[in-house]
Amino acid sequence: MKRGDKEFCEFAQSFQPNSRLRLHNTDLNSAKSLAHPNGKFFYLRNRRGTILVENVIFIVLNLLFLAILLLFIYRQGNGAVVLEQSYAKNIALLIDSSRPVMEMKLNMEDAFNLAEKNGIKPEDIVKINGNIITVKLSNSGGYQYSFFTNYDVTAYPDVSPNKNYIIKINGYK
Amino acid sequence: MLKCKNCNSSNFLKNKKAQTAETMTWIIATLVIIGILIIFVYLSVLVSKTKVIGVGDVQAGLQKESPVLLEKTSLGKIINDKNENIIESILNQGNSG
Amino acid sequence: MKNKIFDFFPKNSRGDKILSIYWFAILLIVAGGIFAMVYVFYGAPYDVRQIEARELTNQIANCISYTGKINTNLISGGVPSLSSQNFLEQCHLIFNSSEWSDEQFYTEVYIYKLDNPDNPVLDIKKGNNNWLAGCSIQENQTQENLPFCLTKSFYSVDNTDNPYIIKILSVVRKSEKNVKM
Repeated sequence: MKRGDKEFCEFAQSFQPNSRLRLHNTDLNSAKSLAHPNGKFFYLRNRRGTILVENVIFIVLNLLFLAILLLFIYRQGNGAVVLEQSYAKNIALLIDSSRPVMEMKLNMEDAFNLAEKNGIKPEDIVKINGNIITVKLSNSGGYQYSFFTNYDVTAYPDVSPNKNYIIKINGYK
Repeated sequence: MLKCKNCNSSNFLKNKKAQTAETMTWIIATLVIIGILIIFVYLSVLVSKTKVIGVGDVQAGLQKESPVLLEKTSLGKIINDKNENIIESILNQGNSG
Repeated sequence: MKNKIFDFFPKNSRGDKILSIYWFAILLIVAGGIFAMVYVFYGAPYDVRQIEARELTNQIANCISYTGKINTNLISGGVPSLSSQNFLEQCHLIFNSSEWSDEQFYTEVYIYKLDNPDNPVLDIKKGNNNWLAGCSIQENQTQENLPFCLTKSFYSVDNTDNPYIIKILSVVRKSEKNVKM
């Protein structure tokens, strides 16, 4: 076997079994046609088609994955649980800091939009029972928070299309 | 199929350095990713502790008086402003949050 | 060449398939980490006890002193009144609630004469005094899982212009609704 042939054999042996490049159905002369003039083999020349498509698919799948995760995070931030807690505490603190007779108008646009999406009527969003406020934006029961003032408080939605809630301190109990 | 006279199957088993290197790369990459995720979860815990809705006069280090109480003190001083220094020293001692 | 040498979809690509599975495992780990971060952050409630304690202090102060003078139902002519017994009803405050099994508030009011700031003329204690012990622990540093304590003082005079210092301690617990337990 000539020197070139021996080198080609050693080179072929160095191929890993799971290599993408596989020489088959060729003879030695055909393989030599790939060789660089100085006898070294340069086998990376014609892999353009394989690399591009695979990498594009890979990047697209990764971007899709990231997009789904970001959408999940965004939805959690605007979710019913967070908004219910936020509005319930907000209203409780407003009542705690108020005095009779007082009427407060609270913009609850986000709450109205979410409640509408979940099939909750505007008049059912905020309920005051004794000294407990319940804010409900989904069918899961709502969030409760109590206030420490002994006032007679009523809450009702503002006239449509305003997305406000009226909280009225009527007087002492 | 190309045939090589001096080739034998045992030669294929010796040259697995690429597989070993790639596996080690993946193991170290996994450990690094898990470590970074743990750091980020810990940072989330720290950030969640900042969800304290405070006011300036209650936060530690800022002994600013509440406007309501300042107003009452001022009205009281209008009626009787003797011993103002004593009043100020007692009030400064007595406030904490 | 007689036959194409390079396959578009190579046959012997078992190693690549193993790597793909591993890559999906990494993606799952990262997704799990992000879910954990979101749960930890959005699962923690907002802590509004500072504001609540301040508002309680303000409401009590408004009840004790009005237009610079102390409520005559508490002190009149330098003499404390016995009607401080129903202090919460006078100030229109309600500490109990069906939301909680125990009262979540506690308050102490001390009224001192200016010339004797160590001995109160009148002291009022209302609410659940179990929460008072948490205040002494937090003298140097606030601990979020303990009740929040706020102490404020102000100056006022009675109906005969006698000077007084009024000290109000407000304690708000509600830890389950304000701190991630």
